Amino acid sequence: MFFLSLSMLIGGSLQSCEEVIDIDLNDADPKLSIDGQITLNETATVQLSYTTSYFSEEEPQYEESATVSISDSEGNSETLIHKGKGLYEGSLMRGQVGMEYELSVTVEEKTYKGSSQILTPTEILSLGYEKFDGFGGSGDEEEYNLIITLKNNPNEENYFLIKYYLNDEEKEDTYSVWSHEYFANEETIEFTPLRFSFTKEDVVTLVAYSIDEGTYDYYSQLEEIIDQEGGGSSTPFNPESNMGENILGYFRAWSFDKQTVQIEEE
Amino acid sequence: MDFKRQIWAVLALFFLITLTAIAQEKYTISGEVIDAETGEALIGVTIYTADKTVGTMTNTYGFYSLTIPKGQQTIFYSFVGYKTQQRQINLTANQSIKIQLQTNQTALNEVVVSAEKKDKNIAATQMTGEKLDMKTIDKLPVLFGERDVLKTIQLLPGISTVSEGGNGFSVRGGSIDQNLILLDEAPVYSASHLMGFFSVFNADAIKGMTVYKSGIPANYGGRAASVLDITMRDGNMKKFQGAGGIGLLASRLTLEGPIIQDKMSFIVSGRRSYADLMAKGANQIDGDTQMYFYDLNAKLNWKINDNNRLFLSGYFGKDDFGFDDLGMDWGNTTATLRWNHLFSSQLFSNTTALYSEYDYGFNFGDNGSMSSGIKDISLKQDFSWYASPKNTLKFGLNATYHTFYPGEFLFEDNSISDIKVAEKQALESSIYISNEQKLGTQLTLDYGLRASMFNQFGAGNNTSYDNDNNIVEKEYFEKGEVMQSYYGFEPRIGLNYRMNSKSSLKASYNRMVQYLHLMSNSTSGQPTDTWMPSTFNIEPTTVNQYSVGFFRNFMDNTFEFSAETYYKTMNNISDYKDGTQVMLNEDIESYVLQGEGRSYGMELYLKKKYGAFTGWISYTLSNTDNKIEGINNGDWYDSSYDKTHDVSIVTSYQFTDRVSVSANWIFYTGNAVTFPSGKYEFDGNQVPYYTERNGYRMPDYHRLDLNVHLEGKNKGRFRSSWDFSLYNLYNQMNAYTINFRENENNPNVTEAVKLSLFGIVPSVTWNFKF
Repeated sequence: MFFLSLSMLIGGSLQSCEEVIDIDLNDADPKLSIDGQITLNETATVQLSYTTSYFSEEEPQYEESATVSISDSEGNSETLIHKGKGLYEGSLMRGQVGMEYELSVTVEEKTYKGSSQILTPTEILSLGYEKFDGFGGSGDEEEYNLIITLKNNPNEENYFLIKYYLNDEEKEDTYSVWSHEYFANEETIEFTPLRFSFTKEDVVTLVAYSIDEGTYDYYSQLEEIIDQEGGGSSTPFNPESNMGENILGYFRAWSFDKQTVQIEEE
Repeated sequence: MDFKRQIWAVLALFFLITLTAIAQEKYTISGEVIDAETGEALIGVTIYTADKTVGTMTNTYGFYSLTIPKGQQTIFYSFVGYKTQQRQINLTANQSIKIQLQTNQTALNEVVVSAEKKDKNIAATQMTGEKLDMKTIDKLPVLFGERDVLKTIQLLPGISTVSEGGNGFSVRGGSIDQNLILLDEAPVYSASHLMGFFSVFNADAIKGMTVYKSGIPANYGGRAASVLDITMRDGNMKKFQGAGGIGLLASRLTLEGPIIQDKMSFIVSGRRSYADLMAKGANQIDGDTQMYFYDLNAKLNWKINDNNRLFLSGYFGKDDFGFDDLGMDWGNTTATLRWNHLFSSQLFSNTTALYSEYDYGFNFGDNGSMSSGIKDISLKQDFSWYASPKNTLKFGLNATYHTFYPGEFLFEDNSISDIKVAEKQALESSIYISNEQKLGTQLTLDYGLRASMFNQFGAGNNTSYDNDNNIVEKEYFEKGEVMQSYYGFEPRIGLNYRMNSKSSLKASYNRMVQYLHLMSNSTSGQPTDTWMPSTFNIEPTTVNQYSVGFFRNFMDNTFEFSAETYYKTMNNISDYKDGTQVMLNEDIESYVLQGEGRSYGMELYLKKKYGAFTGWISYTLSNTDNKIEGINNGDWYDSSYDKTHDVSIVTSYQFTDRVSVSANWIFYTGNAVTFPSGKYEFDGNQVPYYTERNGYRMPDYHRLDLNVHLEGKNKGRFRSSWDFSLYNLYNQMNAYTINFRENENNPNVTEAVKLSLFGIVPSVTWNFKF
């Protein structure tokens, strides 16, 4: 990413130009996408929908007659109920630490299965910030970076997904993933994500997820194809699902911690 | 067994040749041809007898050897841009003749002024070894005020630009890592500065270059698609002189001269860009930002005596980018030591020791640093044996020890474990022999054989992987133990049939084996790409190419025309599994998919070489596709290097002695790319859905550039000139990338965004010479 922003900078200083264009794309046959999750102490939710044409602004077609169930490594299981528009929800089983979950989705006699584990939850120990001089500084306004301190479990192959929200917006501004490999043997870990910066007026909310290796891989791949800024030369692809071959989406089991910060006047 | 048999068959052929050359009493004339003014050795000077039945050319070191019947002989020495010289000799013994050629501009009343041998392209055996001298390059429009040899060759048929501003180029459907780029025989692993906007070759220090895209001679090897052989200038043997230029983005200075008159000379050429200073001035970037490159070429040239000559040359270049304590740099270092020795007037020897290194590094300030690179140490011995007027043999051997540093990430914080991808070592060795044989007056054959061997050495692991990139087994090898070996048998054949004085037919076949692979996530090439050896998991790439061409000159050789077709099959070309992370990936080998490729095409080329109006039109029609298990269901798909149409029109008009205007227009079909054919929602994101690789096309690319060259008035020995250029004159917003993303204000709306790098870019350069 660092490299890409550099090439953009050079492009930028030589009057590069970005514009939204019309382009003809093929419409692929609709394909099922599974967006499933179970969170610590919460019940499972699964969203089933089909792909639409790329520029479509309409709601996708939803899968409303699937059989969706979740089971854990202790042999408990539950069938999720369809609540409308392809959203299936559980009501009994809640996410527990250390438990591995398997999601099963059956559509037209075809069954897709995938599993994920809730690892030791992380905690945001502190959330600070520092002034950021910028990659060349785009404007007059001062920018800031976060300094994040998380609790780590050095005995576990754990991973983190951090979502950054600006000013109570519903969707995160961006996210980043971190691997335990960078922080071996440490009880607490500290890092400063360079990809996310904010200004004085912003209220920043951080959600730190504790995730397993599969989820880390999936979000790493997802990040590459939804954030193509400046790159674009590497070959795009569909992130690899844990629900089987020839299917889109992912099922993850996770926990999270959340904290908010704002710049204090000096 | 089959391999051995083939070798013996070829050797037997060579014996036959040498036996046929006896009979008449003959003597050899030999020596060097140099520029009368500078003492610089001239490459590719044609030397022939009055009846034009016997001829030769000077080699890379300006040396020639010609064996002809005894008695009265008239010998002609001719070279583009120089006056042809004629020597009358009475040949009674072997004779050494040193020739000094005068350039056309400085008319002196010497020997003879006759027309040069303009039909060289018809007579030369070389299928497609296109020679470009700096005079041609000087006349072309410049990009950002810098002449650029790599940009120039991309205007030739069969050689195409991969991406705007990039220096990576593709030759006849080959990938960018399949081009062997040599600077004074040292391989240059990354030929670009400033994200590819400049090449590393400083035009002031370059004598000339030759590009081979087919019929590649047996003395070259190691890359599958092409050879770009660039020669640095030797330095003026007669007098001290300097040249330079001051441009908007970069400035340069070259100094050269004799250390011992006519015996020893030097040349030093430096260049530095100041894009960062300019951008700071325009408030485009922050005060702490660095963004520059520099390079230095240096060469020492010592004629010890008529039979011995030493050259020491080097290149050092670096790009540096930084913001505060974050930074990135990359660069090449090459060094070449050569010894030319004449064993006899017919046996020329060149011994080379060379060193080449490429590395890049990131600096993450307090966090740590990262680096990666490749290092070569190489020994080479080449012989040219001018056996008889009809046979010129070349043979030699070469051994290169490669060390690969795929990458390491060192953290400042000692509690964090460093990431190190294991270093790899390999020895690449080869022997070759070739013969240029004249059969009668019309037919010339150039055939040869190169046998190559590649050994990867320990310490290291041969790792087996399953389909999900998990390690199945690791076999450890001690330091120095052979981990993997590969062999290559590379026949090369070229044929030139001279139909008459105006036309010739050329045909060639070559097989090339490539043992090195560039791991890259992009098609255009980036400084962060990493070189890898062939290993237990990655096999060498082999290419077979067949090529046929027709060459014809019109209107007293004023126009040259050629039409060539080629067909190429490629084995073990590489692509990656979906979503492969190339950088710092210890298991990168498991993500490489290998398969086959094919490319075929037709190239048309019309060139006007003489007169006030000069230039060329080049057109290439081609198709390149790949078939790799694991991609697009194992079906054939368009290669990223597939360009259906590729057109270059290059023109230059000399209005007066002091004013010339040049323009070029470029058009090519957009690259094959992967675009989405749908989308879906995941965790609040609109995710593009892809159905096939390279199923779409970028928009076609076209551009017009203009350059006005003004020569200043001569004041004594000081000369100056101005170049005013406009890049992309009609401000065509060509697509550099097309990205698919959510609309910033409304995440439910998805859009395609085109990024263009350059609109119209003006530049001014002031050049001087003294």
